[in-house]
Amino acid sequence: MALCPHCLEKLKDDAQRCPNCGLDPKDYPQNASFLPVGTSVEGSNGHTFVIGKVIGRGGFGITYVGRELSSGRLVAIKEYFPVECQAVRQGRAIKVDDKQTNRDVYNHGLRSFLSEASMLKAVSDIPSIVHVLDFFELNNTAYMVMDYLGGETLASIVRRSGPMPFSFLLPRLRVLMADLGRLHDAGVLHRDISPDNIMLMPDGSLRILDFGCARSMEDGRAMTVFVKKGFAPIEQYQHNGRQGPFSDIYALCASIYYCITKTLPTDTPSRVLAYSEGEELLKKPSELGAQISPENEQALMWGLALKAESRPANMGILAARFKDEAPAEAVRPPEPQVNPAFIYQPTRKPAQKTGGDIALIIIIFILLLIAAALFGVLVFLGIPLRPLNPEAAFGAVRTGLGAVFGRGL
Amino acid sequence: MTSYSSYTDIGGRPCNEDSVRIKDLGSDRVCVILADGLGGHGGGDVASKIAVDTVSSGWNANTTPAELTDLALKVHRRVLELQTPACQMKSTLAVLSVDSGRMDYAYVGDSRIYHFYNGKLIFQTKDHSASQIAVMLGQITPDQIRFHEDRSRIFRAIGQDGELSIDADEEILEPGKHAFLLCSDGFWEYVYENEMERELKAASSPEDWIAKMRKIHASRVPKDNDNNTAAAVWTEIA
Repeated sequence: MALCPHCLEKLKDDAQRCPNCGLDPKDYPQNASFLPVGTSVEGSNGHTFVIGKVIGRGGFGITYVGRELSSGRLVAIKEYFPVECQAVRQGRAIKVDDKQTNRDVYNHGLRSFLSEASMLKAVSDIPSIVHVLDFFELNNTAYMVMDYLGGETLASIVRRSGPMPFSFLLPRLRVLMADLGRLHDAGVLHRDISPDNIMLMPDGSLRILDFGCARSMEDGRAMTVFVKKGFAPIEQYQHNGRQGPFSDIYALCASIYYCITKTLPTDTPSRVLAYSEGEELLKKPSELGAQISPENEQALMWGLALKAESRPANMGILAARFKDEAPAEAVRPPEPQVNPAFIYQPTRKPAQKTGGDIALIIIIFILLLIAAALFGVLVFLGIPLRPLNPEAAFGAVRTGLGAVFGRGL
Repeated sequence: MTSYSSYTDIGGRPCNEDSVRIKDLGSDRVCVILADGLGGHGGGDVASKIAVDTVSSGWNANTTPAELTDLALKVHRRVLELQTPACQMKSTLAVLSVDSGRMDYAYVGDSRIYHFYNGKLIFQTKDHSASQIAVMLGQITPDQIRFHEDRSRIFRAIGQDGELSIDADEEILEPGKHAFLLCSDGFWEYVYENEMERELKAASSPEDWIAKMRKIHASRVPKDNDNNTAAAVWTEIA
């Protein structure tokens, strides 16, 4: 018996397709540095997770699909495995070489990873933010477990079906912006917003994934590993660059820009270089054929101001600037392509399901008690339990009840 | 009449990840290539050597900025091909072509190209570094780059993830004396622009110029200083 690397269901060793998700169990990314499919990791509180295929790889580490054994729920598991500092896989563990600077970088990043995970768990009641279930240290590294969301990222939708009209995005963005505002009020920044991290769910809502963990890592000279070109505001290129809600605002507006134009915004260092020579490299979306009203375009470009202090100070201010637009005509709104095997699970804990089970058991028990009581009453009244003559039975009941309740029935 | 000289030095490091090459096709057609492999990624020396080898074999005189950009991107692709998960090697690159009264250049990273005309500094490339960004955002002055914490954080490098933008341009050389200096950050960190000018005035040849600047460099560097490399080209346009 093997495990499907995509959905972690059991399947026959020679299966060509997984009977649950329909995908080819042999078709998944493989690399010596990935944990093998089927590896189990023990989380905190006794949860055990089984690891599936790799679904993402970034400068911080690797993201796997997984399944939590007791509930069967699908999860996304992030493993801290930084590209820098020359870490390597040894068995299940991550090993850093002996150079002290590399060790320091590794340990610093590990602490950042865990502290981000902890912060995220603390804000996991915000609906648009992916729910963090668990985080822990193991294998000389650290893991963060999140809900697996079976929607489709905006990046994937745009690649597949072209730019979207802003009128489609705006109502959904309003909810997202409000939730990001709540996140900021709680003192947490996302720091890695991009179309790859915003997921459109089957119910039409947007979810934001993949927080910029270990963002504060020392990362050597080349910064491109840790900044998403085109979406990172300029302050993320600076070691002690002050970040704030305005940083997430830039990245969100850059993501919207991409979604409505299918063009990557000019990276901020290049914009700064050109700007110092009097040139603005970032074209207006309308110049690229985007469907957006002039007022909303202006609001968007405000969010894309180079200098942090020139952008809206918080999500609420940005949201207020956007004006609702009539839906674009003759354009079918994009729908996410989802595999039902991975369909989004509500982020409510399984407590509801368990509660339902308990309720059912209690109801059955009560019914049994009633049945037993009834049986006892009938016996007491001398009523044969298999009446040969229904009328006689009825008469007997009447008599019996009369004996119990006194004449007068 | 074109003359040139170059040097590279390991400094206080265990390995020299700088590379430099000067290709001379005769008749005053010269190409200088300098690359500084980025440490901390493994294989910086391999990356910088690939850079100078690839550009050198690909350069023929009478070049354009577009052709130099193509050569730089060719280096980028080659380095990406040779990267492994354990060795994400990267490098800066600075290329200068001097030929027929024209100069063409292309660069990425924080290795610099300086242009002196009749002894005066008239142009230097802007580093693709976070410190240069800070200058442009008005947070620090250009003089403060050398001492800035972000000086070594570069946002464009050969071998980086994804696409790479190369800065390239050309200039017709006015009649007079032109001197060019290409150098890695291990060099320019300890030799200031006014000193480059001063020593240029006093120098009898590119070799002499470099020797004079190296004296200043040696008087400032700490024990564990970075690899340092420089190449100088002098040309006189009638």
